[in-house]
Amino acid sequence: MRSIIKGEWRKLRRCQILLVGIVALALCPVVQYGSQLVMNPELRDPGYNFVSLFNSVIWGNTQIFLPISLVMIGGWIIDRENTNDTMKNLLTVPVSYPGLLGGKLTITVILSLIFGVYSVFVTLLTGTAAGLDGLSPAVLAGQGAQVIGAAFNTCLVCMPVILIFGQMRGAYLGGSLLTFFLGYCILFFKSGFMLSAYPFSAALVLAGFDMQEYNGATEATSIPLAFLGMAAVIALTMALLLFSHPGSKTGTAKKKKKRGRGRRYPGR
Amino acid sequence: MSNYIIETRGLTKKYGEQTSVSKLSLHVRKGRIYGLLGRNGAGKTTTMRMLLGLTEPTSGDVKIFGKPLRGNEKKILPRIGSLIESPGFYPNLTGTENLRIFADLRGLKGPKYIKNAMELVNLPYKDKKLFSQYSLGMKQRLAIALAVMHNPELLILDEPINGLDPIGIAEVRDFIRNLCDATGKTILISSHILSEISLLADDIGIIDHGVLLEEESLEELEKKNGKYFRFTVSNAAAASGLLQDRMGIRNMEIDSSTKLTVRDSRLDAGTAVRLFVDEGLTVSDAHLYEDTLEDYFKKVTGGEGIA
Ligand SMILES: Nc1ncnc2c1ncn2[C@@H]1O[C@H](COP(=O)(O)OP(=O)(O)OP(=O)(O)O)[C@@H](O)[C@H]1O
Ligand SMILES: [Mg+2]
Repeated sequence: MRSIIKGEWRKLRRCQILLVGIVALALCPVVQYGSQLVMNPELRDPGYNFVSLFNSVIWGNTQIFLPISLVMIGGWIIDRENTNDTMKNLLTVPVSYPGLLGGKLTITVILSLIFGVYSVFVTLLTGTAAGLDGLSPAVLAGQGAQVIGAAFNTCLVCMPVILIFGQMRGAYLGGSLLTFFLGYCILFFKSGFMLSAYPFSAALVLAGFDMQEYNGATEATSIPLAFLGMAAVIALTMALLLFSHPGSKTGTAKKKKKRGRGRRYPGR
Repeated sequence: MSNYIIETRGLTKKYGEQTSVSKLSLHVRKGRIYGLLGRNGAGKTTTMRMLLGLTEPTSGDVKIFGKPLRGNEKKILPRIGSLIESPGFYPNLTGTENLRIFADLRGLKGPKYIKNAMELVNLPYKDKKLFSQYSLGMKQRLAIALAVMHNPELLILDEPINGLDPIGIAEVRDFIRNLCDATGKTILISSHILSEISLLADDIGIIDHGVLLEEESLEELEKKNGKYFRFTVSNAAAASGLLQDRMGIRNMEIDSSTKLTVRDSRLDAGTAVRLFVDEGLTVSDAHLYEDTLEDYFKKVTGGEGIA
C-alpha cells in the first residue's frame, strides 16, 4: 500500500489539473471579500474582520470551491489510468484494484490537507491586502485549524462521488458539476435531521464551524447526527471500494450511482 | 504433469453476440518462442489479455506454470512480463520516472533494474524528455523495457515491433532471441506479420476469427510444406506422358502447353530431364519450388492471405 501511495504522489508531477485547486482556493477569499464590497453600504457588516473572512472562506470552500476541485482532481486521478492505458500495467504487477483506488483516495485526502494550508495562506494574504484587522496568533491558529479541518472533512464527503465518477470514463467533470450542486444543497437543510446529517453540513459541523449565519439554520446543530452523516459516507466509500472491480463499464457504474445517491440522503 | 508454461483449454471470449476467441487450446512450451499469428481482429490481443487476467474469459480455463491462473494471480503474474497493445505510460513523466513507479510497485530496489532495462532497449537513462514527447518507436521501446525490467520467466508480447524502424525491428528480434536462448525465458509473441514470426518463432499458432487453426513447430511446418518441380518443356503433354509411363509418376498437372508441375516427392529431377532430352523434348527450365509460409497461411485460413 505504501508503494501505491508513493507512486500516486509521483504521478502528480507536472500535472496541470492541480491548478484547478490552486486557482479555485485562491479565488475563494477574494470572491468572499469582494461580495462584502459590492453589497449596499447599509447591508455591509461594519465589524468585518479577519475572523469574518476566515469564516466565509470555510463556508465557501466547503460549499463550492473544494467539492468542485477535489472531485475533478480525484476523479481525474482515477480516470487517467484508463485514458493513459496504464491500468493494464498496474493490474499485471499485480496491484489490487480496490487497493489502487484506496491509494488514490488517500492522495486526494492528502491534497485536501495541502489545499487547506494553502487556503489559510491565501486568506491571510487577501485579508492583509484588504487591510482587515483582528488578526492575532490565536485567531490564525483557531481559524486556520478550522479551514484545514473543514477541507479534510469535505474531502471525505466527496470520496463516494470521486469513486463513482472517476471509474466512469471521462465523467469526472460531470461528477464535479454534480458535487457543486450537492454542496450548494447545504442551503436547503435549515433544520432537523438533515441540518446536521447532510454530509456537507456534517463536514462543517465536525470542523466546529457555526453555519447559522451562512445557511440561516433555525436550530442548533447536533454533533452525533453529524457523525452519523459522516459515518454513512465512509461506509458507502468502503462498500464502493470493496465491490469495485476493474473494467466495470459505464453501465454498471451508472447503477451504482443511483444507489449511491439514494443512500446519501438517509433522511428523505 | 505437462511441461507447458502456458496451457489453455476451451478458452472462449464473447462480446455480446460476437465471439472474439473461440475454444482456444494453446500450448506454449518452456524455453521456446511461440508466435501467435493472425490478421487484424483475429483475437490475438483478446487471448493475451485473458492469459494475464485482464479480461475475464466467458468460458474455458488458463493454466500458467502448471497452475490455474484464477486464484493464483498474486503468485503467477509477478513471474510474467507483458506488453499488451499500445504502450501505456504517464505522459507527464519521463521514461525513467515512469519505470520508477512500476519498479516500486514490483518491489525492485535501487536504480539498477531501471538502468539495465533502458540500456537493453537503447533508451537514455535519466533523460529529461517526457513520455508525451517520445516518438512512437521510443514509446514501444519503453514498453519493452517495462516488460523485461523485473527479469520475468515468461514474456507475453503483443505486437512488440509495432512502430519500430527496420533497424529497431532487427534489434528487438535479436534481443528477444537472445532472451530466450541465453536466459531460457519462454516467450509468447503475437504478430500479424508473417515474416516476423517465421524469423523469430520456434512454434507457431495460427489464429483466425478467434479459432486456433494450427499449432506446430516451425520445423515441422517447413517439413510439411509442399515442394514441387516446375518444368518448362517444348511439349508438356508429352513430358507428362513420359513421366507417367517410364517413372510411374502420377501426381502432376499440366499448367499450359509448355509448363508442367510435378508434386510427387519421389521425382528425381536429373533423371526426368535426361528422359525428356533422350525422347527429343527441349527442356528450357527445371525448378524446385517450396510453398512459402504465406501459401500455407492462405491454405489454413481458407484463402485469405496475410502481409
Ligand atoms: N472490449 C471489446 N468489446 C467488444 N468487442 C471487442 C472488445 N475487444 C475486442 N473486441 C473484438 O474482438 C475481436 C478480436 O479483437 P483483438 O483485439 O483480440 O484482435 P487482434 O487479433 O489483437 O487484432 P489486431 O491485429 O488488430 O491487434 C475484434 O473483432 C474486436 O472488435
Ligand atoms: Mg491486437
